[in-house]
Amino acid sequence: MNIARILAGWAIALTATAGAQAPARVALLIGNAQYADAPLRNPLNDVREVAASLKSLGFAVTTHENLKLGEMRESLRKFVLTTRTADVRLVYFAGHGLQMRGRSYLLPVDAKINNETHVLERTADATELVEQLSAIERGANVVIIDACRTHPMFTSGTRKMWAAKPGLSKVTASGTVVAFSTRPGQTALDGDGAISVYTRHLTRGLRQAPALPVEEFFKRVRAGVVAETNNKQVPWESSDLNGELCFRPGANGQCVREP
Amino acid sequence: MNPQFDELSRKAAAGTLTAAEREWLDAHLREHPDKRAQLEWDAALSAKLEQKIAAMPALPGWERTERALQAEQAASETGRTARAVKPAVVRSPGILDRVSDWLASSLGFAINAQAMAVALVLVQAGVIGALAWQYERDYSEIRAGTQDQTPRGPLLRVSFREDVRESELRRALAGIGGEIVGGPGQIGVYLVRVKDGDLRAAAQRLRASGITELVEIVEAKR
Repeated sequence: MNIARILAGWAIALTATAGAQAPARVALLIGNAQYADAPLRNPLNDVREVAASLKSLGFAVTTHENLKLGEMRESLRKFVLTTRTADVRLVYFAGHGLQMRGRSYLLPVDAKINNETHVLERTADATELVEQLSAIERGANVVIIDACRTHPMFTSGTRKMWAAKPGLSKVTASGTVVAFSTRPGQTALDGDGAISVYTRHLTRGLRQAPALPVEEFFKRVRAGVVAETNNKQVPWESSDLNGELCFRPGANGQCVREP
Repeated sequence: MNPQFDELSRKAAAGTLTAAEREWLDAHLREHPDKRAQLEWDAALSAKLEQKIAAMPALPGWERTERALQAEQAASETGRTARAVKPAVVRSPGILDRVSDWLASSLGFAINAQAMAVALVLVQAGVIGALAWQYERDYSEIRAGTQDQTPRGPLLRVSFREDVRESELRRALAGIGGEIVGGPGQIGVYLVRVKDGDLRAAAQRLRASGITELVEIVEAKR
């Protein structure tokens, strides 16, 4: 285990409190709603709500809406390359996503996916994003994907898509928390309200209990979603952090287990 | 080998010799009596072929098949009519019948063989359907360390500027004795192994080249 990484992980909360280095905590938020063949109602509201919550917690937030393929890949590339000295890197995506052969892919608004090759050519590789973030020596990463809504491509009856499936593939990565709005391989609800069920509980948690350790924080989010959806949607998360991380440490600079 | 003899021998077998050819052939056989064996062989072969050809039906393949099918159908209808009048022909029991008999003797009641076959097909369809459903619901777990498949360090993790030409990239790599061993993916990160020399010096040279956005050393132990 890398000693430097452990120390960096433990230092996260303290650094955040001191606010010494800017930007110590950075976030990239992408909301894709205007899909030509499968528009979504909530992602833009979702991403704005999350942006407001994170800004209030001191994150330096970059928000993008309705990104096309090139724009989406470039925004992810820039984020990975330019935030290597940050203490916390957070990526949030709301939109359509799918999985194929153990990897997860996020769909830009201009994605026309008719076969497996299109999946590789016309989407953003979420698994590679997690891999590349995980490879950064300094700091911790949080990747939140509310992207498991069912795309009509999966009900169109085509067999060309036999390896691609709805939902996302499990991924765990060192120094990284990965949170999906639903279990791997399952689909999430867009919800009846202005924001998705998952994002509503996520932002509520960010407002009410930002000092919880992220593992505990996401458990609470999960419990809220499960209760509201009557067990139809069960969020999933994986944490492989080497230290303790919370969205905003308590008064003593530490995460707080029971606020 | 005498080409003329060979040709006339075949013509003799076919019975198409002219008088002059017959005369030449006779004279040749007198001079070479050993050739008579070949003449007889050609004649025998010709006779065999004629027999085979005569045995083949005159109708072309498809028409012949069609007629055969019609004849078979007619025979089958005749047979059905005959069975309606006469008792059914006794045949040896098939495997389903035997299994059915065995089950009947074991369970104490009769089971129709066709019903059993249908049930078997339904069970198989159910199993296949269940497996297919399970497969659709399945997902794969991977660790972000799929890079485990890529070479381990010590390496350089390098991202080149977007406007860099391939020739510049190659020159820079050649300058540090570097070899691309991984990447790039969508993020555009390469893994570069430096064959001989100081990895830190190589990283420094790459940074100084001005064509990179990122140069990091990946230690051997990650």
